[in-house]
Amino acid sequence: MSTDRDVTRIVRSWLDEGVTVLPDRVLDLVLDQIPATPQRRAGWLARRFPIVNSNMVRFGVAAAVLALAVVFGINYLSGPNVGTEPSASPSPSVEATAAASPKPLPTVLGTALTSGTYVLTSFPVHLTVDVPTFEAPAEWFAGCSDGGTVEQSVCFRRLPTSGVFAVGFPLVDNVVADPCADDLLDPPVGPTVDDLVTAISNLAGFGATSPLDITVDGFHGKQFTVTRVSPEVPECGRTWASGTRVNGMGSGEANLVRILDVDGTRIVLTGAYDPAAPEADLALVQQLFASVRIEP
Amino acid sequence: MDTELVIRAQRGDEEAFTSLAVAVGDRLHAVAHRILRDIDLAEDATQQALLNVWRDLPQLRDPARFDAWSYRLLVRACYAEARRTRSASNLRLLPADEPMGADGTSLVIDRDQLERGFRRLSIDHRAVVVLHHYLDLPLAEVAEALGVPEGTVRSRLHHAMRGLRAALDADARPARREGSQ
Repeated sequence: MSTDRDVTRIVRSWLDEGVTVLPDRVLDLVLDQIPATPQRRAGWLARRFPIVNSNMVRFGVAAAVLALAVVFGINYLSGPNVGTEPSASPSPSVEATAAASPKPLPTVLGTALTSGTYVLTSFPVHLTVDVPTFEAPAEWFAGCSDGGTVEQSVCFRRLPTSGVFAVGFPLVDNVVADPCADDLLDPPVGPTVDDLVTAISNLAGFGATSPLDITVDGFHGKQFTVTRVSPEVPECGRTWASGTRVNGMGSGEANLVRILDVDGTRIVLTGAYDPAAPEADLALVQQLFASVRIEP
Repeated sequence: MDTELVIRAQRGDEEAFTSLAVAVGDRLHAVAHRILRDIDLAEDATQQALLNVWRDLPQLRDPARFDAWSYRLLVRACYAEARRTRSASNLRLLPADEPMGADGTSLVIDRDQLERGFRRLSIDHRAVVVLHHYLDLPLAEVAEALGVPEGTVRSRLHHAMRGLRAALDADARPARREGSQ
């Protein structure tokens, strides 16, 4: 009769034997396929920050100190020819000059963004979004998916290793028939806001809140939240499609979804976040949503 | 794992992914081989797991947890390979590329017994044994890697080790009987 310790020792010794090196040809096969294998955007989620409240406090303090410094500098240190206009609010804000001349939102993956107003390119309507200033260490960048022009996005990440949340502007034209496969609904989703709201709300493995009526710059639509409720199988997080690109949501991810009818053109805004994360992360998504301005 | 490398690969940096694949490829392959007990299946599983790592990397919420996440993808690839070849019977009992034990016949017998006992385990149970006893992952990390509760891991490990012990003892009993006659 073997003792437990004997069995463990024998098993460990036995497991130590065997191959330990992946043949180069296998690695080469993988690397050869990478350029033709698109990445699946999904889990660009906010990371949980247990000390976020104190971070926010520090941010508030820093902003207040900065505001005082600006006011002090303008009023007391500037020469007599410098204007003495009241300083602007120090809260997270967009550069004053940017609003007048929005910059094109890059479509290249990972392009760094500075604060300011950006206008979407390759989008069916004129839409601008504001990237606020934020305390370091953090970074804002465009294109946190492989969506290119079919899904432009504004992304934010706290450095050095946090996850990313993103507000995306996908050109959604259909949803998947099965979240575990890339096949799309056939016939595809109809053209109205309600058609898409219904299709997304009915995705298997996802939960959706009741859609709320909203109006943005005079355009009507719906807003609701989609949450992945069956995250056991990582591959089964597929959601909607933009052309040939299929989006996915990571385990535990939620998306604030806004669908609007802009003079007959349906547009979609998505904000990915972690529902269990501090409210500050969702607040940033909502801040970006609120900054969106639309013209037909 | 270098989390900065993971983050770059998440953002589509193929060069970063190449470095990542080189860094983790051997370990993933070693684990796959120990779970599947077949060199060809292990290569296929590792290849698929690495491709899945690239494809799904943007879904990884916390780059610092890359290792556990990659093990989960690997185990899933092992499941797929095992399912694909369930009816095949070409698994080698003592793979030719494995060295023989240095301490003679008894070790060979143990290995043979273990091999048979291990093959009777499900992939679920094999994965727990390999991640815990080969990679030395604590049970909590095994649970994270497999996406199951720690209690489930503990239970699987218990049953797996009991099965392996039974395999060793069962094969030993006839030998003792023969010796006493």
